[in-house]
Parts: sequence; C-alpha cells; structure tokens
Amino acid sequence: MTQNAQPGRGRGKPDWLTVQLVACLAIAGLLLPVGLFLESPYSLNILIITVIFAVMGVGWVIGAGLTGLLLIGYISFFGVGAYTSALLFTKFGVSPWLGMPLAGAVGAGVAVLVGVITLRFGLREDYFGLFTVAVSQIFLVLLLNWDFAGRATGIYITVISDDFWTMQFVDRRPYLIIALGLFVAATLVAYAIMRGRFGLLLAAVRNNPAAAEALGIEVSRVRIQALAVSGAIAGVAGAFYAQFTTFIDPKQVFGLALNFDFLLVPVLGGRFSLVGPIIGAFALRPTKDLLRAMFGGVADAVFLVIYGLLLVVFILLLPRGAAGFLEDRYKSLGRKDDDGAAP
Amino acid sequence: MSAPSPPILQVEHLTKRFGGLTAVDDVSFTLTPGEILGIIGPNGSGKTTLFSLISGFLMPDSGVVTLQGTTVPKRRPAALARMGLVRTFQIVQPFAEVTVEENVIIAGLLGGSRPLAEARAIAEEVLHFLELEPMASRLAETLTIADRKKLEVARALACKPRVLLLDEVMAGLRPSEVDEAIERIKAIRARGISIILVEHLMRAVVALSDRLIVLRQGQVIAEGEDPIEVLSRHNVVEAYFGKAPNVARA
Repeated sequence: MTQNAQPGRGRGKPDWLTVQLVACLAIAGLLLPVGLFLESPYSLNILIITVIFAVMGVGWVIGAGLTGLLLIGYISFFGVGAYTSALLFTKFGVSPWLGMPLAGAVGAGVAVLVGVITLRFGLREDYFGLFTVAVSQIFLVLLLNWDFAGRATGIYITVISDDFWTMQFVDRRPYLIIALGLFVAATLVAYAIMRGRFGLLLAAVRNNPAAAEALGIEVSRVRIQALAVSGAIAGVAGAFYAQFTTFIDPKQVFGLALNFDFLLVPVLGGRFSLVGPIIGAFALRPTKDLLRAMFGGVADAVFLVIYGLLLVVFILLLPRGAAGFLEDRYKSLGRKDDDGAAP
Repeated sequence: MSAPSPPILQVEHLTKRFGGLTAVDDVSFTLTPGEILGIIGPNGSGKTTLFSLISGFLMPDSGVVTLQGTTVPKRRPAALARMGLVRTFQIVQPFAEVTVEENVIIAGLLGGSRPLAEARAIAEEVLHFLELEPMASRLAETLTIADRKKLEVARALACKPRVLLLDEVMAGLRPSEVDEAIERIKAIRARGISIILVEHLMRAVVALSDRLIVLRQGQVIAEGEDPIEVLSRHNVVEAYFGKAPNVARA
C-alpha cells in the first residue's frame, strides 16, 4: 500500500512504484498507435474520454488518496477549468494552449480556497466531503444564472477547420495525442510526489494526522498543497474536455453524475496507486458502454442497477482497488525463492 | 542546591477545565537543561492533559508555557515541534502502512524543514541508537508493543528535540525491557536533551528522575529532588492508597 518504497529493497526486483510508472508509460505508448489506427471516430472518442477519466483519476489520487481527504466534489475543479478555457477562447480569442494552464491555475486556486475554508478554519473532516459537494452545486447554480457564460445553454465551440493554434481538429486523432500527453504529465507529477519528500509527508498525514502534527508536520498546509496540485490537474483536464467535446453546460461539467463517474475510476483502480486510474478508466468506461448497449434499450434503470451492483461487489472484494490486488501479487512474486535462499 | 541555570521550559499557572472538571489546576514548574523531570499521579490526575497543554494539542484556559524564553502565542503542535519540543503518545501512533525506517525518516524531515538526504542520515543514526535496525524494513503495524513504543521514541528523537515529553513509554514492557529502556533514556539525556517523564512504573521513575512532581486531581501536591523521599510523603501515599482507616491504627 505504501508508495515510498526505496529502490533496491526488493533485492534486485524493481520496486512497485517504478513498475507502476513503467506500466503507465507503456500503456500510454501502446494507446497512441492503437488510437491512431482506429477507423471509427466513435471508438476514438471513447478512447479519448477514457484517457481523460484516467487523468482525472490521477488528480484525485493526489488530492484524496494520498491526503486521506474525503474529496467527493472533485468535479468543481474540472468545471471551473472547462469554463475558464472555453470563456477565454470564445469571448476573448485566447488560444486553448494558453487556456489550459490558466484553467489549471484557476482549478488550483479553487482547490486552495476549498482547502483553506475547510481545513484552516477547523471544519471537521467528515464534513469536508459534504462541503466539496456543496461547492460543486454552488458553481452549478452560479453558472446557470450567469448570462455571460450562456446560462443553462452553456458554451459552444464551433470547429470550422483544422487549426493547431486554436486546438481545433476535424480529424479527432490529434486530441488523442494531447490527452495522452496530459496523462503522461499527470502521471509524472504523481510519481514525483510519491517518490519524494512530499510523498512521505503525505503518508504521515494520511496515516495519522495527530502524530504527524506532533512531529512538526503542518497537516493542513500539506493537504492544501496536495489539493492545489490535484485541482490544477482537474482544471487542465476540464479545459481540454471543453475543447474536445466543443460543448459544455453547467449541468454537465458540475453535475453529480459525471462527478461520480470520475470518482469510481480511482476507487476501483486503486486510491493510493499510480497505475490504478488508467486501469480503472479502462475497466469502467467499456463496461458501462457495454451494459448500456445490452440493457439500455429495455429500461435505462436496469443497466444502472447492474452497474451499481457490480461496483459494490468489486469494492467489497478489493478495498484497495485493482492496483492493490496487483501490488500484492507483485510483492509475493519470487518471495518463496528468497525465503528458500535465506539461511 | 546548586545555582539554578535558566530553565529551558517554564510552565506557569496552567489551568484546563472540561466542563465542571478542572483537569489541570494552576500547575507551575520549570525544566532545567539536561534534567529529567518525573511526573506521577494516580489515574485521572491530569498528567496526559498536562502533556497535551504543553505540546500544544490543547489550549489552556489560562497560563503560559515558555520554551527557552520565548512564549509561543498561538501554540500549534507542529510549530512547537519545529522549535524543539516533541512529545510521544501514551497510545502509540505509528504511521501503520509505511515501514519502520520510513516512519523515522518522516520524523527526521521535521515537517519538511530538512532535506530528504539529511532525514535519511538522521533516521539511520536513530535506528542504530535504539537497535531498531533489524525491523527497519518492516511495516510499522507488524511490530510488537515493545517495539512500537521504541518506534514512538525513535520518531521523537529524529526530530532532534531539545525538550522531550515521554508519555508512559514503559507501560506494558517486560522487566528486562524496562531495564533496557531506563538505560536508553539515560543515554538520551546524555545527549543534552531535557526530558519530562510521565510514568506509572515507580522503579523507572525512581531510577531516572532528577526531580519529581506528584499530581492529584490536576494539582501539584508534592515536589522534590529525592524521588524516594517524595514518594514516601504522607499526602502522596494518601493520593494513591486513600486515608488509612482508623481501625488499622487501633
């Protein structure tokens, strides 16, 4: 479960964190040619959305998995990012290439604000989760009533022709390259955190806040810093999402439905892991689409019930997600040989 | 008495009430550099509350704590730890899902104010000092209670404190382990660390304390430099065992 494994502890076997990093990069490297050869734009769109879900998962792992915070309303940071970039582009002609980092900054800013309000002023940790949900609904209501942002109609981004500068592509394939780039970047950020000093401080904060405090760790500050990184990733992902789908409205990018889809990815994949989000994303998106295809026509509720039941069973069987299961497999690999060799 | 050196820690008129109960009642004392101050008292006499007040986990209703001449106005535990005042917990609080070594490295970071390489070096030294090296790569949750107590001390030491508050670090240890712990605490003091020791185990208290304070219902009822003499005082015996019944005297 720990991710601060030190190199060489496994006697020649690379440590689990390194394995995860390699796996993430390999998956990204594999998806690129696969995606570029996909004939159907429908499949390509699903693939790109799936990668975006993985990016959101990595962001959530940093802000929630590593901090131990019950970050439920994660979509707020995504939504403000989407609106920031979309408004800058459609109203002021600012390139999404600039809009993405700005959206990241806004996402981080909102995350810090949420963190300061809840953690610094002593809102109890159980209520942190409820508060984050409330924040997403506040944004929803604000944007439903903001004329400049199109109220309930949202924002349309019209794609006329291919243009790199405005991140507009009639052929969808360049979006896959960008999405994979975001995934690799987010993964490298998470890896650096898990491997380094900040990861150790987060492990302390997550494991035992009181003991961490007693050892000189400013628990709230550490958590807010992690939230900022997490919010930045979600903001960038939101900006990309707006540009990719060419349409956003408040009910979508601040909606609880999408929010919980985002949350399930790291929860199923592995809340504390690097490789969990990409596993979770690829396990969830196709399953949902498959179930929808099988039962969706009959009765929409049926497929959601089955989907929900599957999730419950999975979470009960693997509380640390798929990556936790894989970690145990990996760590027991070759252990018998070691014991046999040891005196 | 020798000439008093300036205190490293000064506690003045600390009071903490929980509703109608006054857990700590107008407690004052000083700790001089290199001293081991023992604090004893029956269960519920306010020892752990006093620790929490000094280490910033609880805010006192009144009173002042001064560390090396500076009063920390808004006392937060993390800030105090960085100033050199570190506590252990009576109920051990390991970071369960990381290794013993990582537990100590985390403490060595002192909240991120030291680089990782330095924290690693400190951890290595502390693990060696407390003979925890064989367990270094084990998960903290797999340790025995004695080793967990040791780990609690190891983490506190990795902060490199000037004042160390030890809260019942010997409870639950076997007699041989207690002897070992007594020697270790002496060695810690020899490093120039001042110690406040809350302990139920009289043997350890007598062996270690340069000075002893007895608490009862939140108040200091006895204080002195000879632990045996303090322990045999009438009101101290009474605090532990109650008043001797009259029939016994007849």
